[in-house]
Amino acid sequence: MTPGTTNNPRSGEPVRLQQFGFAESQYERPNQPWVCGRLCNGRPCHIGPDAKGNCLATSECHPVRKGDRWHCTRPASRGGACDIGPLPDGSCCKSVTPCQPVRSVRGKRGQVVFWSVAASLGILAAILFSPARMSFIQPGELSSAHGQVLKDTAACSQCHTAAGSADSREGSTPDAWLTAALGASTSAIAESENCLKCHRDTPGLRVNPLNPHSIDPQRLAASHDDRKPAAGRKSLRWMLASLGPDVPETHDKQIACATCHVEHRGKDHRLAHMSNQQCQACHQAKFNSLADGHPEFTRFTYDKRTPIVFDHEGHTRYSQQKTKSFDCASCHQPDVSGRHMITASFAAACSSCHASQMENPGKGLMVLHLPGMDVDTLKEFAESGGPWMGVWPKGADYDIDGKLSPFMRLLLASDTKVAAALAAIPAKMQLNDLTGATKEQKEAAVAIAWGVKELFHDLATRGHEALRERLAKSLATTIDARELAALTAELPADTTALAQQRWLPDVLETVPLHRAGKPIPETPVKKVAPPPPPIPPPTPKPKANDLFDDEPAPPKPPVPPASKPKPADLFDCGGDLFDDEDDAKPAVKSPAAQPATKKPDLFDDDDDDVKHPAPPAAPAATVAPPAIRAPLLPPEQRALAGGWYLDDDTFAIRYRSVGHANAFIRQWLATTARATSPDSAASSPGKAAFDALRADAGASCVKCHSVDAVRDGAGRAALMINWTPKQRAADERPFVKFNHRPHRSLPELADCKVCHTMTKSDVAAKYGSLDPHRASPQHAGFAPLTVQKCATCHQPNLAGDSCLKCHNYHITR
Amino acid sequence: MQTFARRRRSALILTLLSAALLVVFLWAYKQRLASSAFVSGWILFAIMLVLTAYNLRKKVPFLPLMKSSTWLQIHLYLGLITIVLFLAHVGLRVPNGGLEVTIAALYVIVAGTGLLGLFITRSFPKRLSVRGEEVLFERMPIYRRTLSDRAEKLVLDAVAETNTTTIADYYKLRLAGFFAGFRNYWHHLVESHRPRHTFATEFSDLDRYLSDRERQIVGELSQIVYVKDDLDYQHALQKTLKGWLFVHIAATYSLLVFVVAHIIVVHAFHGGLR
Repeated sequence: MTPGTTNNPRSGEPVRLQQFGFAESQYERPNQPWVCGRLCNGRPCHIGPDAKGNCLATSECHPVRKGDRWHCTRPASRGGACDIGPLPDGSCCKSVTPCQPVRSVRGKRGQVVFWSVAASLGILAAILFSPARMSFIQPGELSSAHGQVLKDTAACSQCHTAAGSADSREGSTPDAWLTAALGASTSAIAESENCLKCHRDTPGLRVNPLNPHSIDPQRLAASHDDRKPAAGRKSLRWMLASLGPDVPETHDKQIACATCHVEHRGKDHRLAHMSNQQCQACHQAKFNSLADGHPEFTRFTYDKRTPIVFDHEGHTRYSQQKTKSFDCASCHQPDVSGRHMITASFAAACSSCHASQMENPGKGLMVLHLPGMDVDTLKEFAESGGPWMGVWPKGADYDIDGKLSPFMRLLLASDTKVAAALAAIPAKMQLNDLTGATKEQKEAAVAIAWGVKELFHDLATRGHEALRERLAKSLATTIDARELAALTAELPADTTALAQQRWLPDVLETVPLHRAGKPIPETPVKKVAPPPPPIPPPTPKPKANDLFDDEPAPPKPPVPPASKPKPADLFDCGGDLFDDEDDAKPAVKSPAAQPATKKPDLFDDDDDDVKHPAPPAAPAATVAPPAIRAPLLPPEQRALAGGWYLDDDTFAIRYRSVGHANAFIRQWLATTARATSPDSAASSPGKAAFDALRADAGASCVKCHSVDAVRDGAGRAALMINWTPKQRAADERPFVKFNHRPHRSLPELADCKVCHTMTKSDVAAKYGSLDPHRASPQHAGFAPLTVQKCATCHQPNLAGDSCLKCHNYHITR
Repeated sequence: MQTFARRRRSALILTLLSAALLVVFLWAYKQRLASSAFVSGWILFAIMLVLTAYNLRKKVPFLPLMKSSTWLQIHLYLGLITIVLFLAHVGLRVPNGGLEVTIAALYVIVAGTGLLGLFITRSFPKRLSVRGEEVLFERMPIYRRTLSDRAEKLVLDAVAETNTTTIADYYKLRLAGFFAGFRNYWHHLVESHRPRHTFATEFSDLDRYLSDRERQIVGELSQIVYVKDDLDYQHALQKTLKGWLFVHIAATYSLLVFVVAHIIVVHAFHGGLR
């Protein structure tokens, strides 16, 4: 028996249903859309319907006339010619009742396809033109962060410009989508502005949010270094990744938010998550992982020097010598979050050793003073036709310093003529010794003297306002009330007035005359040959007013009423704030040595024109009875608690700063630093003042508080003093982030020195440059951290080595 | 001339290589922060158009557009590649937006029926050649009617001849409905012989009630029944061979409608990303 057949039980031959042959079967046309309706009964007609489904069968045959007879044409497959034959009129004798044609298999399939497409279009149109269209086309749930605030359909327009305005709750229509899809599309950068409407204030996105790492492209280019991963580290993965296109950035090198942050991935999707490969998409030097190819930490964490100059190794060594403990925890404690280790305050960390240095500053700073002037030389100069500086107080000549303090120089520099005069005097020349000075230098000295007088005149008449004007002019900046208060340390106006009255009582009259260009009184005249002096009668020597005045007073123009006692030399040492030499010993004056004149009281409520009592006429032959007075401490001792005091010995108004963080010195250093441009090699008054303060009174401040060259918002360079240890803003986002807390919780890392290994350092070299970023571990006093140390734990199957674990992308600094 | 096995092996290797290259290319796209979905989407759409064109190509056989069998081979292997591309396009995630879910469901139907059709078209012809007479599907109703008439005539003749209604009663009870249409579709699809065995059992049970002549008649009748059963088997398989295309082609065009909508929406809302 042939497989697939059934045999006839009678004959044993296979039963064959299908016959092939012209006479046995008709030709099937399965591609035609309609078939006879009687096919399902198994009795289809042989004619079949037309293409439109109309039944064409009317009879079993179409008779053909041959000669005068009609012949039946029924096909052999239908039984051949019938017995009856066609009717005489030529019609077939066997009529066929028309059927209702049905679709063939292919026709039915076409119908199904048609209605399927129609249904799809209908459903799509119904949904897309309904209010629910935005929900329908939404490609997935929003992440939980966005989903909480963007809830309704109008929310689509918050991020998608194509979604229409936020006013329309139903969103834009499909025709608008078609227009948007076919027309010019919105730029990705413009679309990112939708993100920034809400995220503009996010830390890291306030400035340059679309630039790589949110920093200025020029700064980014400048921060590029040539460190490359070790050769041969490029894996197959990177070679395959290089098949991709260039990183999608605009012509101005910006990257759209959606390039990295892909939404609509479900509420648990982490928008900020990036693979390590994606992080490195823009980097030319790529590496495989932290342990394999990551550039070495040549500078981290010491790429920026600390604000406070501190030699860790030196202090450790010193403490060991003194058998004191020097524990890291003494100065470094975790902040509230545990993330950062913050440096303790001066009081907590440094005062135990360093406070005493600041509590006894000696005589203090010589702020406002009269310089010592070579009166004789200048008088001769005046007599020979040069300008005259007017009356200069006795004692303010050779016996006191002929150099101006930084404060005086800055205040005098506000006047261009005086500034030029200051520049004309060489650095080595002192005003109290003009021997060998040129004519121009003498003129300059006179100008300086008048400048000093004008200063005291202005201070006496206008007080602090005069100071503010002069400082603003010299520093080319504005001085507000707060800054003025700090710069003056609340200098009592009466103090400057008293100083003027004591030292320069005539300036109130002479300065206006000088300023008006009028001659002042007692101008020396041109010298003529003096007559031979007569033999003077013996005259009693006037009672000496100062202890050490061995020379008789020469005939001079009237001296100012106040005659000063000659100060004790012991107490005039100059202005080093932290001069540790013990030279400020108060000298107890013997009663006999007390000046005869009573010094005016600082708080004397008498008239402004304090007329100093004329020196008492020395009695001819009587000896003054010894005065019984309490010993007068030196003025700096009387101002033990700090503040302003008059030092008549040196014709100076001094300021005595006591303790750490004195506001006066701090403000002067800060103000003059601000006016100093590190870009310019030329000296400005502010720069000169700052340099002088650094070297003199400010030395101890900047010994520990580093000075950085910075740029303000307008790009102007200036100096900035770091008064505090590193301060971290709450929303700071550095490029490298490190959290101490989880690390310190490990017993292996409890000791700070595991990671921060101290080395001998060159602290001075570290701070020689004003650029805070020019630092290195060698200068920091610590050995650099190594990648391997971190990679011990930070591996994919351990603590994790994702780029984002240690790095921020959007940074604030 | 290449054997079918060798051709299939080389085509499969080429398909796998192409799919692997596409995956690597799309992965590289993603690593460069570019949107691989655009690339994969457009490639997918282009391939879908080529796949759909096979149906159109069969409607214009007179044009010199390569043989249909060649088109079929291209259709098969490109179809396999679309599975890889689709998974890459959706990022191995289950879509959860209305439009995307619809597209994904339609794609699954199309791909699923495509794979089913591949299996059917490779396995059913062999089964068709093993059992029953291979007849044209369009003629099967005619042959069913022939067998039905033959069986009915035999039964009526048996009644007249034997003067008993045993066979007629049995015919009326069990065989009339059997011969009235095509039966036991699912049994034949899964190659079950239960209907045939059931009839054999019934005939055997009927035997004790029959005379010798009736037994002869039942013997003939049983052969007709078995031929009908074979015809049903052929009908079931051939119907399936034609029927799966109803789903596959209809779903394909529906999928294209939704895909076009998806392309418009994506390009309207992509926000400038590429």
